[in-house]
Amino acid sequence: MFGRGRHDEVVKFIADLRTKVLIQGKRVRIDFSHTKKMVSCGTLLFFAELRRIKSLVQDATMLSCKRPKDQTVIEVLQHLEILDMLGTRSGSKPSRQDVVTWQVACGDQTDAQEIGMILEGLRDVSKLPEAVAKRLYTSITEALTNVTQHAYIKSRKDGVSQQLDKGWWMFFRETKDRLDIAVCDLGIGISETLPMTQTEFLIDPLFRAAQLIGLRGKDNIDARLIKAALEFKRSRTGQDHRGKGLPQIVSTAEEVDGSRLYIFSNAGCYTIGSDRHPPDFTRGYKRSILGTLILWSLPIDGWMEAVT
Amino acid sequence: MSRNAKVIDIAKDFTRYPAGRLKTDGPYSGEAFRQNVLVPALKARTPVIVALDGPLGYGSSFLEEAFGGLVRVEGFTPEQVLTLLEFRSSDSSLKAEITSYINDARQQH
Repeated sequence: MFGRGRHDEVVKFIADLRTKVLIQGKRVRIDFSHTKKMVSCGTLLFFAELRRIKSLVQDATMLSCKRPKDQTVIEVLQHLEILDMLGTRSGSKPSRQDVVTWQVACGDQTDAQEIGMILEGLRDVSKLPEAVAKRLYTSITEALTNVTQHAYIKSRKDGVSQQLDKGWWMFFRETKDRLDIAVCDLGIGISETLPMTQTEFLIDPLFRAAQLIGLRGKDNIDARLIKAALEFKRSRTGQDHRGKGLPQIVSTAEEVDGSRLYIFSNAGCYTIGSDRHPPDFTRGYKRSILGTLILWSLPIDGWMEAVT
Repeated sequence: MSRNAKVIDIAKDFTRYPAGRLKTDGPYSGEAFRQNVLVPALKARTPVIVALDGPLGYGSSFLEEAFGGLVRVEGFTPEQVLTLLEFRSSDSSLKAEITSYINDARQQH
């Protein structure tokens, strides 16, 4: 989803789905027959939005689907119970390792039992080092605390009259040498929450600069504001008792060689550790995801060196 | 610390999965721990040992609200808190972090 073309396609598809079902009240049949690949970030966003739509519509028959032809795509949709959500028989249980190793957690609050149990399970099965599991648990729960406190403080700008007042969704995978985490909320995004939750930010030079540059530059204001928000919050770490969640993740990502971190929020993205872009790279998009999506990939060995 | 000190083992007496700042964040937040466990223990004015090992980890929001909140919200002084509470952990940085939240909360009180 980092590329502008793919980002636009995925976000438009999700927006069309939301608009047709929740605003126009139309029945929708999703055609997966030409789907060849499902990438974690776009899949998580689709999964979260689908769960949200299903929770807001009473009629279970509003959504249906045409089954995929690709066997891996079938297994992804089975594993995430998306076929069940769309009223289609899921058939045999998924078995591909690149599918079933993805674990799913979601919730309304920062109730971390599910996340803690996933991490403890990894420690038992794959011997994930305790120091890594602790750091990961701390970073994720802080990020979810931010979501619970800030992401849903006003209505999402999607034109939908019914609104969820909370919610987060997470995918988690450990492969031989890496941890991959994707977590998202469908709230109002960093650019909307920041001036409301950090009132000092309104007079901060970074914010004012972001407004000015964002309005004029190639990147949009949402991308600039993600970066400005991180800088602002990190400059206050140790001076204030609030808001250490996202900076903690960014700091960890910066400490560990080989880390990749993407923070998508509304129509912007901020990234660290991309192979093709410099650190602190920002990018703006035509369409907003209407929420925040964090992708974080870390090499386990590199992390062990950083935390021990 | 007195041999009569009360021991609060967070993993056994509260949860193995502490997370969040306020009660609205979740059932095992720093505020819930402070109000339901720490404050009743401190009001007895007897020493309390807080055993920190066991849970998978502690976010800064949880720790600041639980321990800094004793000063910022409940009205204890940092000296009272640090006299009455003893922290036991295999992680010395965790004890230092909690102490800093208690001392920093004085400035915000």
